[in-house]
Amino acid sequence: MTDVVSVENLVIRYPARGLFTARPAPALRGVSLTVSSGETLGLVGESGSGKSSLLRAILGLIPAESGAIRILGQDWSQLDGAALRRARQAVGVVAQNPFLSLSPRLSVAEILAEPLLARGDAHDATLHDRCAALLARCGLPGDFLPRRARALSGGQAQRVAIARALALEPKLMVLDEPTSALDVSVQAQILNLLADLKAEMGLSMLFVTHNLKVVAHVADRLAVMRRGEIIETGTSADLIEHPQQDYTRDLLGFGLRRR
Amino acid sequence: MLDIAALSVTLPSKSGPIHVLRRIDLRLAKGEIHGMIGESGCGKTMTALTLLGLLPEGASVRAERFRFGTLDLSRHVASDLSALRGRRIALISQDPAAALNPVLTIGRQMDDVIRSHHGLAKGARRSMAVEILLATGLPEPEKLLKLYPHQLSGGMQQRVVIAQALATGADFLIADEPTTALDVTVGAQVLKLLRQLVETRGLTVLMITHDMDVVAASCDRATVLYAGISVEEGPVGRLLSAPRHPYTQALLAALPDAAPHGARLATVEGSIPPPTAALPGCAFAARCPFAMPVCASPPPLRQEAGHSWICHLEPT
Amino acid sequence: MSLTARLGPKGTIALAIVVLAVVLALFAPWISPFPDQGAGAPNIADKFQPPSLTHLFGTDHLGRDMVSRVIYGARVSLTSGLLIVFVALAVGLPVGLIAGYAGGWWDEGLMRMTDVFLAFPALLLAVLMAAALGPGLINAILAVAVTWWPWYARIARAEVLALRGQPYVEAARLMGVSHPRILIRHILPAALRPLSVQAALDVGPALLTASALSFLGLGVLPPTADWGQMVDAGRKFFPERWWYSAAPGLAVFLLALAFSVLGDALRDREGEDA
Repeated sequence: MTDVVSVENLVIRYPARGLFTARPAPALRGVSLTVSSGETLGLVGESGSGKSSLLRAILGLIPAESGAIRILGQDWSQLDGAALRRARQAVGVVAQNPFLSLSPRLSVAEILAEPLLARGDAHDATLHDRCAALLARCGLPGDFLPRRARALSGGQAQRVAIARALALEPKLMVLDEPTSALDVSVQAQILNLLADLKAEMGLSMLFVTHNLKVVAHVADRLAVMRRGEIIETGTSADLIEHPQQDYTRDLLGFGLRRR
Repeated sequence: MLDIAALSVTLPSKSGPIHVLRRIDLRLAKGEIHGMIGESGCGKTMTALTLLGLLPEGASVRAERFRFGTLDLSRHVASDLSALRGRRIALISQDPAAALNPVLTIGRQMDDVIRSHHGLAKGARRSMAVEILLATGLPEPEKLLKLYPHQLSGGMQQRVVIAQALATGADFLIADEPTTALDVTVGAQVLKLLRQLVETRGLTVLMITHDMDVVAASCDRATVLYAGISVEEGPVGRLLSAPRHPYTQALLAALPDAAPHGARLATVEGSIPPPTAALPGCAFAARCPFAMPVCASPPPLRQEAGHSWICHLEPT
Repeated sequence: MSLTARLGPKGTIALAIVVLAVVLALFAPWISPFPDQGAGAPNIADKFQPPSLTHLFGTDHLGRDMVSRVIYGARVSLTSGLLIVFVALAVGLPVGLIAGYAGGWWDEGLMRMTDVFLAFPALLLAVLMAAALGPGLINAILAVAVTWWPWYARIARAEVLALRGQPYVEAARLMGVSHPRILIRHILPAALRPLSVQAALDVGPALLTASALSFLGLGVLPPTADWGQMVDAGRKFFPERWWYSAAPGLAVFLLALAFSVLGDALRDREGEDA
């Protein structure tokens, strides 16, 4: 099984602001993790844990001070313009707030067509049908195609965002707090959808969140982050039954206790 | 402390009345932390605004019973509540950074609140500020007085907001999603603080949230809201272990830790009825797995050892 | 909401005036009471007639009906105003887009060049350019457009900077959408909205500036007559034959005002729409 994502000893430090301030402490101090093919890795951390920095580094949005990241076998920092864009097309990204990540001006059809056109697909008669098919796969009927994002509910908009992320049949999906802005009942629907898609398409997923309970349900393996380091990893079942760290126990123990 | 029965709030609009609250029943005993739980659009925020007397112009408020302490507010709801706001009822909201003035020091903001509620000299005000800040668990309050809000962490900011609420002398606190913007561990501490304050200072807290974990961790009793209606109310332990209303059951079943790892989560079809709909019968009937023809008429109130709910289903 | 409702009463009147001016300009030969006189044919017999029922605004020094001349002058003035704004947009928009999107040295270089143009008082620069280019309608348009484009570049750049950070733009980047496509699909349409409002507001002042140039003798040459040129020609006969300058002057004033009010109404409408 090849690793879809592999991060080795990643160190990220944000530049100092101002002339005479000391170099800030690293946001990530030597983090290593892997996502195997077909696996869902849940990355859990609160604010200041470094999970956002890790995510942005994996997506190639910020440079690393040291360490290596390979996505689908490629080191993105070595790729140039066109090659980098092609590499990005193999990764589907879903962000927390669909009303921010979907263009407010475009119709759903245009939003879904964008990645297809960016890849170079022709703007032909089949495009409309392909967009409808994407929507259908995410549980939305074709009459959503002409609507604008703001006419949708939170759950519907997030389904469109997921459909868009799937447009280019990615091998890897990266989801950043995809259900944090949704109601509990809608969250359940989206989590079910993600589970279905994963089974259908054999996706590998990196699921980043602050909510350990949510991710424990969907992920095969978990990694808990705190203050720039991964403090605990393991299979979901193990971590939930036998958390090693106090912090993990705190995260699990808050509120309802079911198991 | 608070006794509300059949509260309804309607806003006029061009396309007909908007029923923001259809039938809210809320009873809080003194010294209780009461959770008000529901999803978006259920009326939690509107209820808070009603209690604070902050409804928009033209809102029509009706209630069979609306008592706060010894005051009967059912007749002049809006104006009386404005008088209570900031004196006996205080609000803590979701984003502590937004509740604090970024250009004034903590000391100055505390002083402003104390000055408008207590006629004390400057020195006495300062000691009062320090004492209250200490009561909210903030370390070294004297140093804190000189700091600005942005120099504090989210958890500390929320404690300062709570301190301001205490400084008004209010004995009733409305906490609107007080931990949503905070980390889980930090939020847990804020909830513990509220519990402590309830015990030491005799406060009563209405905890508004969408998060069952918060209710489980901090509340004594809770009311579940759906489409502007109180559908179930009872002690938290019973509510969570033996919910009676189908909506509450669905809500709890949809939580990720309700299902075994990897299994599908239970979901509810459909969506909340819009506030413009009339809804003569049970509001949840359209989505209820147990719906019967009789659900087209208003459901009766059922009670069982301090636990009440409205439903046509006979309790088994 | 219908267009007239959205613009409000003032905006609707302003729009009506602008439309009227366009109609007059387009259909001048059929609308003017004395089309050949409007086009320039003299009628010495009737020279310097004061306003009357036949000639609502009197006649000029060659006996030509002023109303017809003003109508024909609308063609030139309106064209100048619109073309100036158009050329300025055609130059300023790309400059602002590139500077805002590319950032770095492109931004520095393009913006400093823009600053050079902005350092001159607008009218002075227009006069200098017109003097350098020589007289004539096209040269006048170019001269004024040169002073106008830097503002559009600035506005465009500001819009781009704000849009560049939007989450949906970042989402497009993450999808592997190329920069040109992002610019055209996401940035350009959004940047164009405030710019179009500004452009509508600017036709009036652009028209005025072009008229000013003609008034100074640096714009159109007779026999082509725009309103500025007509006001200038009527100066010698002021105040006895006041109608000569008054007619075109009034026209300039009314149209510039109409564009200004229309632009305001459009800007208010933008606020709701977004």
